[in-house]
Amino acid sequence: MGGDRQSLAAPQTSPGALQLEFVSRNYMVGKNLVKALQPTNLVIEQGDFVAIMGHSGSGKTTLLNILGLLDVQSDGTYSVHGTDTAQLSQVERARLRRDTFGFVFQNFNLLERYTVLQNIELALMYQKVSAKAARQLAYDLLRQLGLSGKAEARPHQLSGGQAQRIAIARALINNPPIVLADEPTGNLDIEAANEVIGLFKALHAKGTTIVMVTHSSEVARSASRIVHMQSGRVISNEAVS
Amino acid sequence: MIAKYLRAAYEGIVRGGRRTFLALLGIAMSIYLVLSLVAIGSGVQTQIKEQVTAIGSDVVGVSSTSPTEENDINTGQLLNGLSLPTLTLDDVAVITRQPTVTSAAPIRYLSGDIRYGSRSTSPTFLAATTSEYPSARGEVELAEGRFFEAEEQDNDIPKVVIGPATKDALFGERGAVGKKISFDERDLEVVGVLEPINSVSVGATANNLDNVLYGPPNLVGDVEQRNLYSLVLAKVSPTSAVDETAATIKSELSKQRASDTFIVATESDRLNTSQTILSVLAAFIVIIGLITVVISGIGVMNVMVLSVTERTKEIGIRKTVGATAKHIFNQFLIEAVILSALGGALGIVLAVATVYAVRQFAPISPELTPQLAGMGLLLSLVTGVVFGISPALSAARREPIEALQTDRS
Repeated sequence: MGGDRQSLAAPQTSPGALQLEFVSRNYMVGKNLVKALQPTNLVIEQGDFVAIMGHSGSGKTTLLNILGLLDVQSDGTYSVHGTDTAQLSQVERARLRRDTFGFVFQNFNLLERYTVLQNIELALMYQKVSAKAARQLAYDLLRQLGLSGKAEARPHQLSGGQAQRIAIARALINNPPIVLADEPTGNLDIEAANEVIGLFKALHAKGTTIVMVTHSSEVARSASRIVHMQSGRVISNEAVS
Repeated sequence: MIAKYLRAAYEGIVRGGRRTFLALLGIAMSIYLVLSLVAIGSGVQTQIKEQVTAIGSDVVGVSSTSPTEENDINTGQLLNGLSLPTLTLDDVAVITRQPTVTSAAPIRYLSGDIRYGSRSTSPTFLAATTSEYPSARGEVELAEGRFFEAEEQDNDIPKVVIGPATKDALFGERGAVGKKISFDERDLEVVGVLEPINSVSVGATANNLDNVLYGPPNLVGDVEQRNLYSLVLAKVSPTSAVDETAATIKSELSKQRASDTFIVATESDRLNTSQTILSVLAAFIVIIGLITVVISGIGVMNVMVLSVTERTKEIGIRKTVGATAKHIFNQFLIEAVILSALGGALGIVLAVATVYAVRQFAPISPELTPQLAGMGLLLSLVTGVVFGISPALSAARREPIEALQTDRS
């Protein structure tokens, strides 16, 4: 286990892209068919920092869930680093998800019964990492984020900014090449939001791909590219000047 | 990986609090019940076997099996489930005549209280027999005194031998030999006290085999009934085959009485009968035990189902960070198995304590062997697996995105 794993350094996996070709997602709500994502084409290159914007119900979270292999498209082709995800078994999807993505959520999704350190270690439970090494990696990452004093705290004892930084630490402990963030600053005050965006910028600067769903234009301007969605469609995909 | 699962299982169990503890207690009680019942049953079985074999492998028993129309049925005659006494002295003579029989003693069971002053007891066996009883019975040991002699059998005051529990009930620590006791408003003289035998009961109770009285045929007050017996014990000479002797006795007796009015039984016959009864009892115990295990298993399943429901978001988070369905399945199954195993271990501890207490305070020796304890633990593990599979499958099948959208973590 290299010392780089726990750092905010560039990921060690080879660069690649997320590629969607005519990917759509439909749900049945009762007897009604809901087209959450219309056929969509999108390419995200390794090293991109993409902000996905749109109103509620525009399909941005659905898109993010498909990108992170948390959800499966109804139609179309989605490739991760050239691998057609439709061909993968459940186990292979889980492994690809584990090895490729780190997830950050608006509501942090920390487990209340675990300490901060245990929450960060959780991501290593399903890897061949000893408990001792996992503990060390988690602690080192916590120290880099300036939260080593909170190692034994429970999530409810943290401020929103601290909780989100812990969630980011958990997302990063696997050293994933891509971080997917769903409204990561949605529950934070301005100061905490700036801290989180600062972290994302630092990660991006070191080569990590970041895909972030946000309502905030100001937050979106931190990205290198902004994808606008409306009614389940991508209506624009532009670089930030 | 196993260590990680065990740690997660420990945290899950600890988090479950009182509800999980109660499920654990349910498993503990069911395993405790199974082990205790089987241990006690096994101990009783061993002791009954010892008592059956104590009569002697070289003793053939001839029992009367059916009442005759001339006889009234009353509780005294049907004592201890035996048939009406219909064996006569002529039958005894036929048995005694067999060259391979060294001695034979008829026995008639009576019932009633025997008294000494203000004290009284109701013996488990109150038997009229002959002076041949010790030699026919084989292993009658006396703690004090002697058995009554042949020439004393017609004495006006019957001379009797009592068991140690009978002696304790009537005389306490004082000596019994030479004392006069009464039965059925007649005086009896105690001439001997038997050594204690291994018994499943203590005190002068209804099933204590040390609470007995043996007296001569004239214990029976009704002269017409005096020479009718329910059992004849016949000792076979050491050089002769017991089964062949039993067959000969059956053949010879059949010449003078209907063959369906008596049974000739050897030790193996007696053992088979007792084993059959005990096997039915053991099967009943096991069924009762298994029902309790199933009920406690349902308790474990209930707790695990609730646990899966309450931890749906956790499942989503774990899947998000890389857990496969198999990881989630293993985690919840191991949690159920650990929960059951802890319950099983507690049950074993309680059973061991109970067995120890029973041995200290009751005259039976429950047999809780390491193998039986191991079976208990195995049973709890199997219970955990069987009743943990369904909740674990349910957890493993949760879609991550749906699990994440619940508000339970």
